Amino acid sequence: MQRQILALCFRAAPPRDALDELGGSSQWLIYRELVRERLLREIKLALPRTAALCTAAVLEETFVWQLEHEPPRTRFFREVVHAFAACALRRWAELPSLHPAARDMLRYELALWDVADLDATPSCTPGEFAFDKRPVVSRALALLEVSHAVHLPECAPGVHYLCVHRPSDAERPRTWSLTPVTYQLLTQLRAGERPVDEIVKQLAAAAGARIDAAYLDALCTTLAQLMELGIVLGSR
Amino acid sequence: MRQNELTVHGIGIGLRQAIAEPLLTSTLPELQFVELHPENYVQRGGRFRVLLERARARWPILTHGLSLGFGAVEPAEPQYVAQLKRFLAEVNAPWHSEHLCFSSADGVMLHDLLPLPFTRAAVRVAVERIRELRDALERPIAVENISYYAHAGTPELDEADFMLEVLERSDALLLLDVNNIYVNSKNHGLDAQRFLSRMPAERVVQIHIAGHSVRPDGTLIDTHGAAVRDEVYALLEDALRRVGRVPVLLERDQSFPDFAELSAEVVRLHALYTRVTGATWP
Repeated sequence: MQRQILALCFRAAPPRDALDELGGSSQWLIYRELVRERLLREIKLALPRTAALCTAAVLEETFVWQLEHEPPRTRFFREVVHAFAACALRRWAELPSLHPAARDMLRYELALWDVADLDATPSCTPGEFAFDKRPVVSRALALLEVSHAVHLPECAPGVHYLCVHRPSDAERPRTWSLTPVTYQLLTQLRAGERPVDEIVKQLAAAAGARIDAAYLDALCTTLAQLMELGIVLGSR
Repeated sequence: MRQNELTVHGIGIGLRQAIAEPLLTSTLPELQFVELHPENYVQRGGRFRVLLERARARWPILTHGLSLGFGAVEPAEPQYVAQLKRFLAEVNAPWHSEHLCFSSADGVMLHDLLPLPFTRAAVRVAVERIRELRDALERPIAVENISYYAHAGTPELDEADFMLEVLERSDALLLLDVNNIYVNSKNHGLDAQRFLSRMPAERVVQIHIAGHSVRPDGTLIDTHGAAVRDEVYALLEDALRRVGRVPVLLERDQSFPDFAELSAEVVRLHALYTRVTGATWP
């Protein structure tokens, strides 16, 4: 019986046989309506600009497909958005009529949705920042490279390196546009696997840059800003 | 746990993000507790964690689950139950409540409360799930009666007998949803007073009350998206006369009005509560 109800709620069209096995009452369709409305409402709440860019028709077609083929398996209601996004990112890659910024916008809004809820407390108590130690970076952070300015109202084409971050004392995330070098640096810092000096040497070598006084000066300015914003928290 | 052991009573409201700010900054002496859904807080930081801390500083917290319906064929995954256990300890929940329904099957989550067949087989499953959860959480479990819009298969029992069998065989507490009793009575032509009179008053540790909507075909839907109707207030009064001083929660989950309007409902409920139960607060 529970499988029949699942089919009734999640198939693209309510299956007649499922309805028959449930006794034929059209009252069962109320559940289909309630379940689908609730899920779609949450998705639209989380992804308002994506919904506007991709059009209501594409959003709903994707939603219908997702429910039938990859229905939500998370018990956390907020994560039904992730299930939809995973499906949409794949399907929309093959949709030439889609607004060119729609997939970037989806990734960006998903990052905002995520970071708003991530626990900002670091996994360990950070000590004072030191170049010869591994960095500790806020966990309420997402880094993404996009090919449209989805963080700005116009969404113009162009590569942007974005840092979506929520300080530990804030309820909402903020978005910072990074230089490519800072983006690479922060990506490595967030991985936290090697001491900062090793990370810097590797990045400089990859970029063919000399680590001279000017380089170090720029690096220290960047790190100071990241620490001031609560993105880099210290070392371990 | 029995009623004379209850440390929380009076009127409460659901802690929801949409009303959190006015709620947390309100001066509403009629409000004695808040209730929340652990699924909205487990594994979550940010705004929700801040709201939780602020709420805890002001009121006792009651917890009400949304995703561990006792009719689930599969047991809940231990990882989530362990997280839930830690969360309930953190907020010092006196019990944890869940619905007598199913919300998932084959690992797929419906994010709604789906009805169980009123059969002995369903009783057996529910009793097993309740015992498992109580053992795992090491905390009393309260079972809530749901509203249902269709009958799941041919019933072997009526709804009241179904509830009674589950409660007695699992020795669970009861979260009595008065609006659900009303909605079911109208949708299925049942006698709400009779249902109420058959519920074991000594097991009731909490009451839910909410508004509902009416579809064009006359079906009542338990939306938690409207003001409580006068008929439901009347049923609440009857329920309170039977069960005494248990916490009463005003559920509002959508179509939120101005907070002043919600506050007025809390005040009205508080007046009814004190008149019927004689409860006073310092």
